[in-house]
Amino acid sequence: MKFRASELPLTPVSLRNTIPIRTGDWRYVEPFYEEKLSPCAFACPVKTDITSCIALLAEERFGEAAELWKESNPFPGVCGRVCPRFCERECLRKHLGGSIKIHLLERFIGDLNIYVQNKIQRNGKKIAIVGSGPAGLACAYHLSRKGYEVTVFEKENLLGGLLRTIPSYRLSQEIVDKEIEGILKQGMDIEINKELGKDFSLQELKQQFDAICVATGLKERKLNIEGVKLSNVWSGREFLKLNKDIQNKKVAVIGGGDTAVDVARVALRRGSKVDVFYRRRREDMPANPYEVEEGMEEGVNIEYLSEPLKIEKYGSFLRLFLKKKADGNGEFFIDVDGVVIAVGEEGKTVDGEMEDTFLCGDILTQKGTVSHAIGSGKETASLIHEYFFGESTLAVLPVVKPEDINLDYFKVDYPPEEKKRDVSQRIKDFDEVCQGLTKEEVIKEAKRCFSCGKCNGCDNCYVFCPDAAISKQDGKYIIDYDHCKGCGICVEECPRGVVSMRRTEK
Amino acid sequence: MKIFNIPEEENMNPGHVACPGCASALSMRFALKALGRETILVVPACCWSVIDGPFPYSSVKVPLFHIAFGTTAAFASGIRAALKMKNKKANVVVWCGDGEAFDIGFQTLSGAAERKEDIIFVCYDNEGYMNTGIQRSSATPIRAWTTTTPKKYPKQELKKDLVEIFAAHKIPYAATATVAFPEDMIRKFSRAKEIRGLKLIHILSPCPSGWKFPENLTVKISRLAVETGIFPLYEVEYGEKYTVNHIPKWLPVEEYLKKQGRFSHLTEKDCQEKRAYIEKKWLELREKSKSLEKIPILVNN
Repeated sequence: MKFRASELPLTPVSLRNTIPIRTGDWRYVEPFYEEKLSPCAFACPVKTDITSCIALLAEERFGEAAELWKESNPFPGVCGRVCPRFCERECLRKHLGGSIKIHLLERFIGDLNIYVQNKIQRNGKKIAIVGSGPAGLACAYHLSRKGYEVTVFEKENLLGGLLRTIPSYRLSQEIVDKEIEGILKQGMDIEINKELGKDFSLQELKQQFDAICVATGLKERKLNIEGVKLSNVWSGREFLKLNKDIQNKKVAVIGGGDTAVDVARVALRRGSKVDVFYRRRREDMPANPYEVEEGMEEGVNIEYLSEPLKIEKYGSFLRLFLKKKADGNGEFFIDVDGVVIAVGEEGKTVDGEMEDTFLCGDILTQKGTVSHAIGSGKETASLIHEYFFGESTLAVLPVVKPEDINLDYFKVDYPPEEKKRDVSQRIKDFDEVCQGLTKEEVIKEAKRCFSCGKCNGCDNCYVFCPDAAISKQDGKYIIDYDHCKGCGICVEECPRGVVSMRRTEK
Repeated sequence: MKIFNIPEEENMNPGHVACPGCASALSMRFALKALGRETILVVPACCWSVIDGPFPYSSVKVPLFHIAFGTTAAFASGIRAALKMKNKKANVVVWCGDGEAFDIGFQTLSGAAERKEDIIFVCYDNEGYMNTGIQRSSATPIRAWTTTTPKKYPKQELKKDLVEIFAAHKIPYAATATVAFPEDMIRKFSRAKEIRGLKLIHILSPCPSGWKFPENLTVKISRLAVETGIFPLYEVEYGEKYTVNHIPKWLPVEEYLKKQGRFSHLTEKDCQEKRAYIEKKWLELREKSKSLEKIPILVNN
C-alpha cells in the first residue's frame, strides 16, 4: 500500500498489523527442521537410534528406552558388554568431559530384561535361517517382527553360536540365555543339532521355504607352520571349549584378535602363565582395545612383532620358535606346555552353490564383531522384506557434523567412573570384571548427551527468532515462511544441529 | 528440555521490516513479552521508526509514537503527565537507538532523570547511526570502523558509559542487557516495570549490516560480548547498589573482535588496548559491587 504525501492525513495513525507485509520474499535461503543421524548412531553397526533412547533414559522412561533399543538390537545386554564401542569413538562430547558411556547405558537397558511384544499378523512367508549366532538370531528376530514364519537351524545343541564362546568374565552366559529367550518370544521354530551339509542341504530347504538366509560364520584360520598337529597345540575355539584347570603351566598364544586375548585371559584364570605373541604392533591389534588393556592389567604378557616359525616337541614340553621382526637376527624360542593358535578367521563355512540364498553375519561382512553380525542380521532382514514386498525400511538421514553443534550451550561434564573388580580378585574366578551403573548414574550420564540431530524441545529457535516467525504447535515448531527472512539465527543457535539451511526455490 | 524460559505471550507481529538477523527487533520482542499490552512506546528517528512498518502498518500490538529526534524523554514525560490526568496506568517506554540516548536526546533524558519522571528509557545500542548509513556516534567503540571513521582513521575516542552517567544521576534503576541472555533481559524489564521513577535499560544490539558480520551470528556476537567481558551484564540501584548478573568466561577478546568486519583492521596492540579497557571497567565494577569481591578478572589470559 503506497500513499502520496498529499494523501496522508494530518496525523497518520497506523491501525493495521504488519502481517500483510511478506518479508519472506526477501529470503534466498531458508531454515527447515531436519532430524539427523547422530555420529554415534552412524558409527553403530546396528544403527540403533542411540540418541532417542538416551533421551528416554534421561527422563527416567526406562521401559520405553528398552523397547526402542530392542526395535533395532535384541542384544543390548550382550553388546553393552562386548562391543568395541564404535559409537563412543565418534561421540561429540569427547572433548567436553569425555564421550558418553553408551556401552554402560546399553548394558543397563539390557539388564532391565524387558521383553518386547510382537503382535504383528503372520504374512505366510516361510524363511529358513541357518546358524544361530548373533547374525542369524538378529535376522530371525527382525523377520519375525515383520510377520515372517521363521525356522532357525543350529548344528550344536545350544543356540547362540559364537556368543557361547565368549568367556563369562566378559559376558555372563545367563545374559545370553535371557536375550535369546526374548528373541524366541517373538515366535519362531528352532531346529537344534541340525548341521548344514550333514543333516540337510540347501536344496532341500529351498523346496520347503520361500527364502533361505545363511549365517554360519567363518572358519578359523590355520597357521602353516611345522608342528601345528602336535598334541597340546589347540586352536582358539578348541581351547575356549576345553574345560580343565591347567595349574602352574605355561601357555603361549599366537594372534592378536579378540579370541587370542580371550584365550590368554581364560588360561590366566585357569592358573597358568601366559605369553601372547603377535606379529604386528599394539595399535595394529584387531582385538577390542579395552579387553587388551584389562588383560594386561591382569598380567598377560604380549610380545609384539613376533612371528612364529615352528613348534617342536621336546620331551614333556613344546618349544615354540619365533622371529622378532624389528631386530635383524632376532630368532628366539620359548618352552611351554601348550600352544594356542588364534589367528583370526577365513574361509566360508558353506561351500558350493549359494544362489537364491541370502547371507548375513561374518560370512558376508567378515567384520568379526558381535555388533557387526547383529547389524548385518538386521540389514538382511530388511533386504528379505524388500525382496518380498518392495518396501525399503532403511532410511537415509544426513549425519550431524561437529560444526553443527553449538558448544556454547554445553558445559564440561565428566562421566561416572567405570567400576571394575580388583585385579587380584578377578583373576581367581570367571565372574564379570566390569560392573554396571546404578539408576541414578544412568540418569545423570544420559543427561550429559548432546542429543545430536534429535530435537528435544529446547525452544532456542523459537526464542531467538527476531521475526517472530517460529511458533509452537503440539510440541512441534512451525516456520512461517511468509515472514521468515532467512537470517539463520535458528540454525546457528540450535544446540544440536536439527535446523538446516537450504536455498529458497523462487 | 528448555534452556531459556520466556513468556509465551507474543506482542509483536511478524512482517516488521528490520534487516535479517536484527538484534533490536529481537530485543523488542523480549521487551514486549515482559512489559505486556499495557505499554506505550515512544520512538524517535532511529532504526525502529523504520522497522515498525510503513503507514498504515505497525508491527507491535501496543501504541507506538513516532516523534522528532532529540525529544523522546520530554515527549514520554508528557505522556506520563497525560496518563496521570486521565488517571490511567500504563508503562511509558522510550525505545531509542544510541544516537538519541548518547547524543541527540541526551539532554531531555538527563532532564527527565533529574525530574524523576516515571518512564522506562530503553536504548538499543548498535554503536552507530546505522539506518542513515553507519556513521559514528558517541556509542561507537574506540578503533571501530564506520563510514565517517574509515579504517585509515578509525574512531579515536572512547565510548560513553551510559549506565555510569545515569548511575551518577542516582536514578532508581539502571541496567545492561543483551539478546543472548533473554531470561536476564526479560527479568530486567519486569523489574523496571515495578519501580517508580526513571529506569534506564542499555541493550547491546549487534547489527549485522553495520558491524559487518553474517546475520546468523547476531546472538553469538551478543554472547561473545558478554563472555569476553566487553559488555558486563549488571544493574545499579540508586547509583549505589551494584549487582553483576553474569560472570564472563573470559574468552579471548579477539574472538569477539575478529568476527566483525568493523574491527578487521585491528592490530595486536589495539587488542591489548581493548583488554586494558575491559580490565579497568571490571576493576571499577568489582570495587563498586560487593558481590564481586572474590571474582578473578582474567582478561589477559
